[in-house]
Amino acid sequence: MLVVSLFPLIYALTVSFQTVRIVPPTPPRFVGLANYAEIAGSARFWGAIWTTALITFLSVALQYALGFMLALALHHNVPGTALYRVTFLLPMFLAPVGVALIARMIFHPYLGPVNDAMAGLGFAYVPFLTEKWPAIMVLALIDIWQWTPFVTLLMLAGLQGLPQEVFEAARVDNISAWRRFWGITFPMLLPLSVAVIFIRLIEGFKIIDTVFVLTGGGPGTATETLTLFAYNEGFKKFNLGLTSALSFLFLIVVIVFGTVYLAAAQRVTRRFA
Amino acid sequence: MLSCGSTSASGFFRAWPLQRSRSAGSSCSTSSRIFEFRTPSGWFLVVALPVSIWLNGRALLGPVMGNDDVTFWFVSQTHISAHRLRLCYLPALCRDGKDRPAPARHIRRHGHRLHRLWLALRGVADARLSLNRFRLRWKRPRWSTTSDGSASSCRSSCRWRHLALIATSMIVLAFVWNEFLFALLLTTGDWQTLPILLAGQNSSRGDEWWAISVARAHLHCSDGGGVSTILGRMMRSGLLSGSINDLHKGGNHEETTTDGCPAAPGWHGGSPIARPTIRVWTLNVSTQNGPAIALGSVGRRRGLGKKTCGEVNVIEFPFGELLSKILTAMSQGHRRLRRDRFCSGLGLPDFAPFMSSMPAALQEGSNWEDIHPTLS
Repeated sequence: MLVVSLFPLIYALTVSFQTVRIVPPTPPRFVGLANYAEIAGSARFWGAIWTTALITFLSVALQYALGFMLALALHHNVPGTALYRVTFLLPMFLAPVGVALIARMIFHPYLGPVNDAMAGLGFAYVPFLTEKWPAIMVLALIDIWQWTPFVTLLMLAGLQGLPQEVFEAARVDNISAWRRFWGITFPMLLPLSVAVIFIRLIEGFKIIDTVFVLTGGGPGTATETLTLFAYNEGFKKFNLGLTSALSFLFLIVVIVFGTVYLAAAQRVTRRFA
Repeated sequence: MLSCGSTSASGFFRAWPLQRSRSAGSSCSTSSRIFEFRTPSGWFLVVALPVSIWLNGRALLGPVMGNDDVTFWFVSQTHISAHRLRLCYLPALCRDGKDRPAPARHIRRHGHRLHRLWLALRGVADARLSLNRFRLRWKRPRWSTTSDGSASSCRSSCRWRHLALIATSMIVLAFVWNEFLFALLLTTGDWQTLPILLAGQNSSRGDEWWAISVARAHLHCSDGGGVSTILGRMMRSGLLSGSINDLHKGGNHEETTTDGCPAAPGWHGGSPIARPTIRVWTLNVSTQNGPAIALGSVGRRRGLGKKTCGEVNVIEFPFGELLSKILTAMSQGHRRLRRDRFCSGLGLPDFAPFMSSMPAALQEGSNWEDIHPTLS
């Protein structure tokens, strides 16, 4: 664990205070916080944060809502539950790269079936991957399609662990379905919901594979996420000092966000419990 | 390793790259300086060990997940893990062979194994996280049996534990199989994972490559379908023993070699797997993908391997990745890079520090003139 985690962390920290370039191979020079200042003053960095946050929060919110609904549906033994369970699990196990590659063809402006179908229904042509907002929506849609099953799986496991006596008592008292959900099911699943949302948010912050394949960060840098920005700086421009500083800024952002989120979630959980 | 790049519109250059660059002194001395204990960086590393041991005993985050899992998983989920792994171990060597610490040399050579090690550790962390969640859900301490100890209830709870372990393993396997970020940052020009290969289809040219890309994507996704089907069945019926029995079925014990190449001596495996052959050499060919450029290497791969009892691996990259992959390998003193056949004019200034003049004897003859006359 030290070899693959702590030692590289410290080495990267020291590099972040230097200018280190592979090409051209210039001798590194200690520059203090200059790398951090350069990143903080870069509009591209703040744009990447904004894009990452937008895609992540939008997709996680919809994943949670849809996943919870699907879990509630699967919890009641409807016919074909076994088939639905396998079908709903499938997107989670597909390679995000493969999904993005196929999505790129589906949403192709001229060869894709989506624009064909929209034209057939009388709608206007939509440049899904060549304009900013449609591209962000497509990225969020793919993320929702692929990771809603993960939320469904965990919420279903939580639903199956709830005590049934409480629900039987509620039915005896003629409490409506919505009140049973909002008053009993949702509060009891709140700790699990907090954990699931937290996991998905952290996973969403590091999104790169879908963006890399689908848009490459384009058009321009409109859909460039933080991880892709760091990859471009480190492996296209070989600016390792700046990339290390960017990585640590990203880590600080994620730690701060995670701490604030968990503190807020604990208060909400205590209030509903 | 042979490398093939695209031709530029204005002509092409033949290059004869050095395996060891004369201008490598500056980065060599810096890299070795960082690992000497006379520098602050070195002392940071020495201090890191007791600090990490102390930190490991502290309570960090709340009761939902275990501290060890969260500490590793939380920090490891960002791309800085891959970046710092690469930063720490891969470029830490000198191209000219001087001041090259032996541990760092071995680390460089086995950098791809570091990637696998990280994937394995991440798999372990994910598994521990899932197991902790399972324990919280089932309210069982680790390795405990049921309270009354009766055979039937123990079988039932053991069965559920096994189911959870199997499900956890399969989920972790699927996630690690589809890992892209770390493969993107830690792979070099010698090997790549399937998601990286798929991503390389992006800049393929020609309409036929759409169909090939889709086919490759579906092939890669088919294992995900298999995993989800098996997981769904196992979660319903709990049968793992069937899959274990498949592995131990009596099989073919004949010693077979595939193409007349020497067979591995002393192979006494009792499984249906054929006796492996020995490969005398391995040639990795990095090339730009696309029908016109990669087809030659791909088409001749098997024939050359069969004739020479060697193995030829063709690794395709999109045009946009060629420069970074080859240049990274050169700057790290990759010994297996022997020659470039083409070098795009756009990328030539970046390669200049690693090159020397081609010998005059090679600048004449049919091999020199076979593709395009040089522009004088």
